[in-house]
Amino acid sequence: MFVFLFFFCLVLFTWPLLSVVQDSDAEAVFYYLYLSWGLVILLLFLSRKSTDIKASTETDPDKQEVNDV
Amino acid sequence: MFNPLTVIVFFCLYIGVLFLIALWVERKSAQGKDIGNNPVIYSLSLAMYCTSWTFYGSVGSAATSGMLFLTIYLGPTMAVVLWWTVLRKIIRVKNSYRITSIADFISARYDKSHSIAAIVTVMALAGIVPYMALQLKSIITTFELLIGPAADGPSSWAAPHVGLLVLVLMTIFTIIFGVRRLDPTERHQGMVVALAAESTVKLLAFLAVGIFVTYGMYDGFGDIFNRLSAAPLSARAALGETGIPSYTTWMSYLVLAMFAIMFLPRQFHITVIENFDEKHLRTAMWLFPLYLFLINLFVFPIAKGGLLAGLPVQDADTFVLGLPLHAGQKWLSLLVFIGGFSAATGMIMISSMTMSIMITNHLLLPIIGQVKGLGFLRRHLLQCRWAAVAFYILVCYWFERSVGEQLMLINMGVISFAAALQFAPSLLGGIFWRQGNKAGALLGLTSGFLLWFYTLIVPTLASTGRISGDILEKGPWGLGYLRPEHLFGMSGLDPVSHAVFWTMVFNVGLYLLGSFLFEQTEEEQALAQEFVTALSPISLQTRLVSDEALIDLGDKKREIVKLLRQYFSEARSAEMVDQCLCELDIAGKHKITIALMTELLKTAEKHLAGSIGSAAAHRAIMTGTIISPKEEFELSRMYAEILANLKLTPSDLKEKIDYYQEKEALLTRQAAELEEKIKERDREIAERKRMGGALRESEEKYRTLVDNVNIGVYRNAGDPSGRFMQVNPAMVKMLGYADAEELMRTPTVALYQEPTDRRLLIEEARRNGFVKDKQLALRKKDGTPLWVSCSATVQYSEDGDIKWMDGVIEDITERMKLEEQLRHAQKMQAIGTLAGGVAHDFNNILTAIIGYGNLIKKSVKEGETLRSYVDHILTSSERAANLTKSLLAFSRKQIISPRPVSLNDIVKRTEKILLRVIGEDIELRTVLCDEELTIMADSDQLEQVLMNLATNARDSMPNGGALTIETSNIEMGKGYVITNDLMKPGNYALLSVSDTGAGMDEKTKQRIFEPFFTTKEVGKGTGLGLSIVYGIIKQHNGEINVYSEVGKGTIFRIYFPLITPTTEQHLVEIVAVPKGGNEVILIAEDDQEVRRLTRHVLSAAGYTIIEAVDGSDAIAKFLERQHDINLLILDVIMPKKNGKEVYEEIRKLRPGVKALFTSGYSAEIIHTKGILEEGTDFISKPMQPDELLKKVRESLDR
Repeated sequence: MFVFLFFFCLVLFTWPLLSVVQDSDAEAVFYYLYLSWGLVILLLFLSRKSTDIKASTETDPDKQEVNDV
Repeated sequence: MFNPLTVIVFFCLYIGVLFLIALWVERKSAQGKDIGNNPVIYSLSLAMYCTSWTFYGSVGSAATSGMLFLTIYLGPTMAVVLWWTVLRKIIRVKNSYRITSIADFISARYDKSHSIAAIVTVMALAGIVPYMALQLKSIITTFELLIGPAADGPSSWAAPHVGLLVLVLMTIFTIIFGVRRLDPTERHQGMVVALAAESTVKLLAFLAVGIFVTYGMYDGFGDIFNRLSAAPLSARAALGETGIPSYTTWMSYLVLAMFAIMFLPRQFHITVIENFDEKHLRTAMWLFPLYLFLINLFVFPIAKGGLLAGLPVQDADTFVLGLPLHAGQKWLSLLVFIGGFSAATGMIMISSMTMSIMITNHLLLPIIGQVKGLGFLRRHLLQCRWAAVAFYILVCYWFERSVGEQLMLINMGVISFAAALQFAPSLLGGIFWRQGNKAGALLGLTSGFLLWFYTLIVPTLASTGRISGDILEKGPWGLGYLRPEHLFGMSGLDPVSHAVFWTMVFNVGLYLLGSFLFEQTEEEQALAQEFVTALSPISLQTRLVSDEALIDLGDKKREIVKLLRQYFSEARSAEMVDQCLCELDIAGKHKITIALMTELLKTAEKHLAGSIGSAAAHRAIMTGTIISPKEEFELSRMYAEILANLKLTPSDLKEKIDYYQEKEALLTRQAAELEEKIKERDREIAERKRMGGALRESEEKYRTLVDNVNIGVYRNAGDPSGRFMQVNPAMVKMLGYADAEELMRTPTVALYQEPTDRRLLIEEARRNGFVKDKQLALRKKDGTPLWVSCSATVQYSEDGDIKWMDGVIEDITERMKLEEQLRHAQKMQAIGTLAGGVAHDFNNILTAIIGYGNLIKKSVKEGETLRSYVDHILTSSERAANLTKSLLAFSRKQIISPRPVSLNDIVKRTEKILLRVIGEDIELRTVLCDEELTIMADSDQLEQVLMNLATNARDSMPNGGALTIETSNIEMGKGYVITNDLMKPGNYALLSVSDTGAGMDEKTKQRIFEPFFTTKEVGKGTGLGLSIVYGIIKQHNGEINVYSEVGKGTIFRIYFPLITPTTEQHLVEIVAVPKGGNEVILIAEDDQEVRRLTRHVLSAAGYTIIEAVDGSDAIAKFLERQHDINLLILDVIMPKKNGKEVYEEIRKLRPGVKALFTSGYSAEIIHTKGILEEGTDFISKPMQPDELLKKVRESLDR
């Protein structure tokens, strides 16, 4: 999930997609970057639930170790 | 413009507020409430990333480089996407190893190398100094801007010192909240929360100025962009870049920012070290990018707005503050200044704290270890850390003063970012690549650092004139391919991209090369495994070696035996090891965990210590080969994990251990006391059980006693009904009831034959409190009379009434019967004695009457009147004699001649006579026993008994009936119940005489054996018949019982003791005429009349008589004519000496002398006192003359 999002960011914020926007005016670049950024933040916000699933499938070492001790 | 003092006061106040916030949080933390343990605060604290470079520099960058500034924030956003994988792993490793800094982290991964830690520290030190300087520069610059240009104004005194003031305040604040304690792993909640507050302030300040510029100075984003578009081409250059200048630069900045957000030392500290809970990352992963988004939203408008407003592009770094000032927004400017100040101070505090830790831990301590003279500093490590904070801030201030003037904020930030980038290969390689090793890390870090310095710092120094600018143009020593900004001839890249490229090439390349070329040690492998698999649940189990049984127990056993054999025999050593295994309960296991191995060694050490002492035993165990290096490492790692998980410093741990040891000792003492109390309680319980058992046993004993005793035990109420409350079985049985309940339902008074008896009993009990041996006439359930002896005690109630009575009653009915029998026997005895005495005297009288009557008769001729008179006298005398004889028989004082006789023969012999007695109307039945029943008896007497009983039976059956005589052999005490307690157990001959006559009532039955008691009409009976029977039976040691029912008949049962059968000597009665003689006879008789009569009779028969009046006289007379005397006639009872004594004396004088005893009374003396021996001749009074003559003749002839 996060790896996909990372590569999605990479596509959004680097060449060649950025060069497409770059061909437009500064305002377009500005809005593109900020909107893309906002989208990423939204996706991060929405994907926070997946961390719950991940955490539940993994052993929490802290708890494990505390139990061990 | 502001007065400098006002500004100083404001930012001092602001610092004071932050201080109070931090103080409050710390105090809350001390109370156990962690304010900092909050994902929002954690996210806001991460915004420390937005330093003054962001606050001011981004605008500067936007003004000159268009959107390039955005890479500094898009990079972290992209990095944040990977945090759940990367940063979480780092946090877990940090928790496991108690990591204190990024240097510590990288060092820990690579064999805990001091070299690597030192290199990282130096790199951070060098890389962060420009950044710190940048912060100071921003504060000083904006301060100066705020107070206005002052060549000779009031600001002239303040501007040069504002940097120092900030330096002092930052140092104090950092020390108080960042380096207050020695343990760097402890979280600094106060500082973190203050940081979050600063982040909030700077965001608000920036948004305020952004909104002011965008919507105050312009009409929004569109307006600004329109103006930019509308600007003539000639003015475009002055408006700066608006798009993306270069994709290479863009990417380089993006990469730098991506790694900087994690690997800048201060970011690493806040993100990793200060992290409370890895779950906070979830919030931070969206909230932190949002923060970046918001704080950058107005960067471009402000930058372009400033340029559109005509501000010079070289002042773009201060547009954020300059625009409000330019617009006359004084307080907004002050807010912006505070915001910028927040951005700078946050970074300064955290960075200086982080760097001080790294400097002391990784630079100072190794130096102290090497230089002996500095050893004392170990005791002042905290103070060293404070000094490091001050020193580091001072260096940064110096750098700012020296170089900062020539650099824009953005440049200084990028240099630091590039330095932080150098940590990335080793750090990321360390957590994702197992093969990465210490050599590779050393090579990569060193090369990266050198190249960073060469490609970025050297050009900076050259550009500021610190070194010659030729190096940039010609390269060192004229080597063009080594030009810092065109290394190996590379051109076309901006300096930052160039530096990023070459540093990464060398850093990553050499890291890989070193890792491939050099081997990892075992410890490195273990560490690599642990770091790489920090998030893996499977490998986590492997990582926690202490939880997994991997150690071969057999090997360890052999090793320990080998060690012990140095001190003991092989057998003893093996035995000790087996004992250790048994104690730990691992005897059957093949593999054990490291923790169990430690326990095993400890146990073995204890056993060994018993022989060689604890110190020697410990030394032997630890210096032996039992623990392999790998196991040693695992052991230390296990303890490290424990420490890390406990989140304690060693000193805290020691304190806790001491505390728990003390607590353990206390608990042990308490446990011992408890154990003792438990034992005591057990003893008490055992004693109580024993007592309870004894009580139960006692109760059981008494209950059994009460239940089994033959006397009745009861408790009854004291009320008139007197119902039983408790009775024992004997009581129930005694009174003839079915069970206790039935008896308890019966009123007590109903048991009394006379109800008044109970009233009397209660009165006596109430009066005395008890009754004792009270004889009561009760009756059984069926009405049978019951005599009891009652003893009872009274239990009184509080008001004095009888609450209840506890008592015992004894059945004395049988005893009463026996007593009655005894009384009867005594009465009979008394009557007998009286009758005997009377009969004795009568006999003497009758002897004289009959004797003289016979003499008169002989002297009177027949036919004369006198002769008839004499006959009447003699007849009456004869009747009187018979009467006295009966009295003697009853009184058992008649002389009997018992011999062994057959009872059956006596019955048979008497049968004919009885038939005549009973008459024809009565049937005589005889049922004789088949056995011979031999008894010692006088046959005549027994015949008399049968005659008397038959006579009575006949009289009771005037209308006829049946008389049954039955004999049998019984054994008293076995088949028969002893009917009379006076009888002894044994074999008896039973003679039963029963009739079917009228019978008799109980009252009559009680008196039938009394002399002269008769139910017959006057003149028909003497009342002596059954008395004679009774006397005869008693004289034969027998017993007689009578059972009679009115209208049904009567049964007499007579018991005689059986003897061994012998031939009965049947005496042949020889009837002959008494003969006289001429012998001399001495008569000793105290009764003159009897003596005279005797003399007369014997003299008439020819005998010579010598008379003596008593015993002494008899002896005297015998002595006078002892040779002439042929026979002695001695009265048994005489004065002075009785007949027996006389006889004994005379026999001494003349043995063989013949004697004939006479007596009218002497039977008792004869038999009980042994006066007469067996075979002694005897004649009882009254005696007939012929009988006397006959006896005398027999005695003389014997």
